[in-house]
Amino acid sequence: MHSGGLTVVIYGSEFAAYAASAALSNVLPKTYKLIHITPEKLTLCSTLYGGVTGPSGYDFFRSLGLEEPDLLISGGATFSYGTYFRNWPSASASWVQCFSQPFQVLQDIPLDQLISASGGNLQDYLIGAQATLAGRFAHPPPDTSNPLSRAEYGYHFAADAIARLIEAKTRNEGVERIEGQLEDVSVSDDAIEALRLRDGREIQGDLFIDCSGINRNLMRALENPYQSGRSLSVSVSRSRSEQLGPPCRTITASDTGWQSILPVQGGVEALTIRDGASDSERGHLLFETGALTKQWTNNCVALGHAAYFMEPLTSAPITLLHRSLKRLGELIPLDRDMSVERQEYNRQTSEDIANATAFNQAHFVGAETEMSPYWQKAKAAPIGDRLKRKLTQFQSRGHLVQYDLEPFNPEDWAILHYGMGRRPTRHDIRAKAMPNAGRLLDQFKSAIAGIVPRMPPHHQYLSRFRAYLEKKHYE
Amino acid sequence: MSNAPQKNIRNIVIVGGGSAGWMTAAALSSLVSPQAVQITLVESEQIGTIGVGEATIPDVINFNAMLGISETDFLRETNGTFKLGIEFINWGRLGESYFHPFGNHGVDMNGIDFHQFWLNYQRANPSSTIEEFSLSAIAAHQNKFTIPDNNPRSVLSQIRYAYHFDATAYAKYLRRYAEKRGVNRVEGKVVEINQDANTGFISNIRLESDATVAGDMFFDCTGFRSLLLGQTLGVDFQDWAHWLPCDTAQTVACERMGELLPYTKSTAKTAGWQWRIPTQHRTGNGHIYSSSMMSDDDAIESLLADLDGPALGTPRKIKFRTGHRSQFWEKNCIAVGLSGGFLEPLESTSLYLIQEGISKFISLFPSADMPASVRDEYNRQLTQKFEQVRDFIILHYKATERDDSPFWNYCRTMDVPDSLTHKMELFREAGRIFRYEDELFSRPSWVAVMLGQNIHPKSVDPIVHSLNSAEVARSLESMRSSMNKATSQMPTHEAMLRQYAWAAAPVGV
Repeated sequence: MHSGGLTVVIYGSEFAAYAASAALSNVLPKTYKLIHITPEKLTLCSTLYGGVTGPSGYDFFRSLGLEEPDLLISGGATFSYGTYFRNWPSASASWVQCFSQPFQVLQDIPLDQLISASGGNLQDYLIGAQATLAGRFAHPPPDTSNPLSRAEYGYHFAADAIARLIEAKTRNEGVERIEGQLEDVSVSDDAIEALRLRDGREIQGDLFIDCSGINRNLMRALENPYQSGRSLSVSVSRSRSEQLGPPCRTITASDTGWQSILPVQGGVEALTIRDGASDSERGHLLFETGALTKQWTNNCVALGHAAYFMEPLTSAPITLLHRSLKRLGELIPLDRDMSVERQEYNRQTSEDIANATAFNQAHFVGAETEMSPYWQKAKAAPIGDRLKRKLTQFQSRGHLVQYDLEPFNPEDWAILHYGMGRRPTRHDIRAKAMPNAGRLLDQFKSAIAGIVPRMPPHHQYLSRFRAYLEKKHYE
Repeated sequence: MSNAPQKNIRNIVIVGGGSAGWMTAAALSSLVSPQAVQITLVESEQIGTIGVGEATIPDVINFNAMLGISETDFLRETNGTFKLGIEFINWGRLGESYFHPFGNHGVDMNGIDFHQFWLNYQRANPSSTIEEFSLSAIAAHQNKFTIPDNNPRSVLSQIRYAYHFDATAYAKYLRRYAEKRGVNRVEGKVVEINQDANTGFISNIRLESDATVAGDMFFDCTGFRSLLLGQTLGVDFQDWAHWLPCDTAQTVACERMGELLPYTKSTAKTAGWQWRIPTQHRTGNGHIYSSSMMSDDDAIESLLADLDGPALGTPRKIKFRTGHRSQFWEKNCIAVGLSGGFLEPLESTSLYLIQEGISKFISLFPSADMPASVRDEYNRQLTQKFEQVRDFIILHYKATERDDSPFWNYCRTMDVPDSLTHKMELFREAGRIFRYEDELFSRPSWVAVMLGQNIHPKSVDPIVHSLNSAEVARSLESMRSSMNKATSQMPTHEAMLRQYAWAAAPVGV
């Protein structure tokens, strides 16, 4: 029977550390104690979450105690329909990886099957993709007869700005913050007893959360191995701009890798990724993709980049962090014996990582970009059985295989397959036989084409909406 | 990418009538036109079908809806009644019973599962059971029934239901449906199955009359014999007897006595269990047991002793094997129903597994060359379905304190699949349940059985630990009273059914 309550200690200064402190302070019982030790910041770590959330971003930020107005007024966030991929998978090819609600079903046949049978392109039937291409945005209306009601959106955000916002918000919410640099981890029986800081203080705890980014200070002390994949060289720059860009992140493939442009309020964050082994420019940092073999070992859970580093091509880094925090909240240990919680946490989290990795990997299968070291290595990474099954099933008949605990839904996969130029070779016989399919599809397309030009440009919508919120909040 | 034209399936042959065969025929005929695909069903009057009083889960409503069948028509034609869940008697301990209802217990609040609130409430109210917060369970205990309200804000929207009906009558009903849509029924016994010499595909079947029936695609609905998939194509069987040791059933109908119950009863016995399935004019019964631990004579005697009305006819014995074929789809043949696999009907999943076998085929509808990739995906999905249902059924045997017979001593102490052990541990520790996404049985079902069979969490989840118990009690008690009030206004099951869809005369006798 649990009585006293445990002490949970978070160590780290990157985005995941602040997110964990906010999320856990909302779910931990009052009898539990939450301590957050903040060492000096690590360069870049927070930026490497990619700065984009999917539609679950709304729930994610709420679980951290941040509502949409907080994000837009104080967090510098903007709206996102997804990511625009340029010169990907080949020069001059491009597509929008937009977020989408489940596809409509017409006379028992899913929309994607009708489109594939008609030889069309999925993107033409997705309002999110078309609005992105036009640079326009508006909140989806509740009226379901309006095609815009099917648009799903997430956010672009600067992780450092959000971390500062959380820090200010949780100051009085039961999180004890201690500034300090780790000197030593005291381990006994493979469990962490305490963290000793440089100034001599010793912080004891029952459950430790390693949010030290790629340093993995706590996990290293427990000798929990990291399975690394590719080495990436990363550089980040920020620039100011007068006018806000489109409601999407833009990722452009180049011979040496890719660059992402993320529109946030007041400017853009540019992120450049290249091959780590062959790129040694100054100002670039090296990161290893991969993951810990166990995300939770003994009494220590790793979150964020300490747990895994995923190339930030998609919204997966944030989605996975969200899911991990939610899961941890559902599996708060009752006492020092955490074996049952740990097993379930690791089971679900390793599924998450495998599924997200497959999604990332699918961006390289069949890419026809220059054979520089970056692309060679990305394409040479082994394709696991899950991805193989997904590719085969889609190419055979447009069937979208889903596994348990997928951070991406079948629509995300369908859009990705189309974007990568994959098309089913066979079709649903019912779709072929449907007499009015062509007319229905045309109606769909023209309804979207009718709406998009009437939507406001992203910058206009955001500045008006922000002004409205400010008025409402501060009057 | 190949651009070869897609060769479509033109001829589908279903071997075997019964529920599996006619459900397959009806579903396929509702989707394809006879001009595009010719569907033939071969069955023999000589070979009986295993049609006993059938209990189902709510998914059957979707199947009927897909076919466009009206509920009242269906109930009248099949002697059907409504089912709100299952009462389990003597499972956790002798003398105890609990109800596994359809639908949820209570209402989740603030993203926290309802049963966690209830666990908190139960500490101060030790005599409370979670069933008090299920509208389906409350109505069942009072023999009440009403169709759920579509308005999600109404308490009555929380009712979930399925049916009990006469499976033989259902097959006949679906036969008429399918024949009307162009399915060609051929009477005859299969004497030979011919395969293509190169591909091993089944090319045709020869009947006793010497007529042959050719097809591109064959459905094996031949029951336990598994004539095509098992015997002809030689697909082996994954045996689960070490987890589910029952292998025999004795079934008999009896006269209907007393009130018409809106639920199935499942009573654990010395070496197995007995079902009681109420249909409009009679009651179906079956005793399922392990033949190595009980003789047929004893099983029959026990069956008859526990009937609540005079038996109609003599008990029929059914031998079965629990498990499934390692492939449900091999070459151009899919086994649907018992020919593909069998799980005892403890949670009424037989028709559901047939339904899945059909609907997964429809969603993967192949071209005539039956690409290996399509079969592979089908087999993966069906195997997963069987395994998930299997774990839930094993739970009923494993979570017991009974030690009054060798059968229960075996079940109580047997090793179970890791996936199940892990679920039981999570619940035992703090009442936590994680459902696999695609899993048939959802959280309330696991909660009902685990609590009903005395797996009591050692502690409540820390999430609810800090809640104000008085507030929790207030909201739970208000839920309960609105459910009781709604139930008091419902008609009895029989009155409702008499007015809604009563079969004039006993069907299928």
